[in-house]
Amino acid sequence: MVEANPLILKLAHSGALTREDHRPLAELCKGARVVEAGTVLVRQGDRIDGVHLVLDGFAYRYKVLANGRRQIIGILLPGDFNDLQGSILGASDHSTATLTNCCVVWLPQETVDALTLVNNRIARALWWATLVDQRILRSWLTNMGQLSADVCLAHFCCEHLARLQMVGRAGPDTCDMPLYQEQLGDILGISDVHANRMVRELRARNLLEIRSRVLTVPDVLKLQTFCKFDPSYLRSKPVEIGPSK
Amino acid sequence: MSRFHFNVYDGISALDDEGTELADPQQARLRAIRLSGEILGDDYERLTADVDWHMEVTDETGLILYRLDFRVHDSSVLGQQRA
Repeated sequence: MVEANPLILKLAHSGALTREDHRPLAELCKGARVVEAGTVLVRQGDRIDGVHLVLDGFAYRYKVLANGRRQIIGILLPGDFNDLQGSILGASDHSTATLTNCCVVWLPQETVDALTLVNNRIARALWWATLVDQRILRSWLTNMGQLSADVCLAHFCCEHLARLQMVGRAGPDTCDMPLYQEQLGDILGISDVHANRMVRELRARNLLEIRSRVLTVPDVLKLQTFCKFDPSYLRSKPVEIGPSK
Repeated sequence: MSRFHFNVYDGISALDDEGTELADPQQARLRAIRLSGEILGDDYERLTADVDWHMEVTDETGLILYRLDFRVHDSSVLGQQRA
């Protein structure tokens, strides 16, 4: 049977899992509930004593500043955790909300800790997931700081498509992207008007199309070349340490 | 809410046929200033000296509400230094 669980599909890319690990991961996904679009799952400042896992739909992480401006700091796709091990820090420094209707599991910290204590491979896979999230953030920071907005948008779209493909939720050149242009602006650190311009410009250059909350890329390689997108930061496998089995 | 169009005349950009929904002309004015900075920040290496860079903000009917200009003036001192 073809694996459909996005958590298993995602963590399989870590290179740390064996087939035996699928069942305990599937167990984690029980107790999922449907959450409506626009629901705040975690508010900035809330105490963290567990983690949310998205199984279906899209969510996002964001910070709201005193001047009312908002910066989106991450997009949660099926298979993504919101701040694994965040409980170590105590309170959340950002908010998380759903973009679409979502299927979400709430995992108390004890549940995650118990699993990682008995299963070293799953622990490693969860570490990998956290580190990839950090790589994505570093990539966002570098691009936003140094590249023009059209390249940033293109890179974000390539990343979004690749991440969804990794969990079986996208075709070779198309995927859902339920973001309004104002939200795209909040991701790229630009105004909604500039985001609108960049979408139009990239469309005019036949590099991508975002319409009705669907991203379509006429030529994926061409778009990746345009923004120098290299997907290896999303799925690099850990190096084997010690004697191989 | 009304729709406002931000048209940039820089020798490169296409006109804004889609527009953006904003609350009022004052919001459009603020956006236009911010947008100018964003475009110039991205495009400064591509700007040619002979282009009269400007932006027009229009309402849905095409009526121009604001015009923003950006110009680089080479001072006469530069001319003397080259001579």
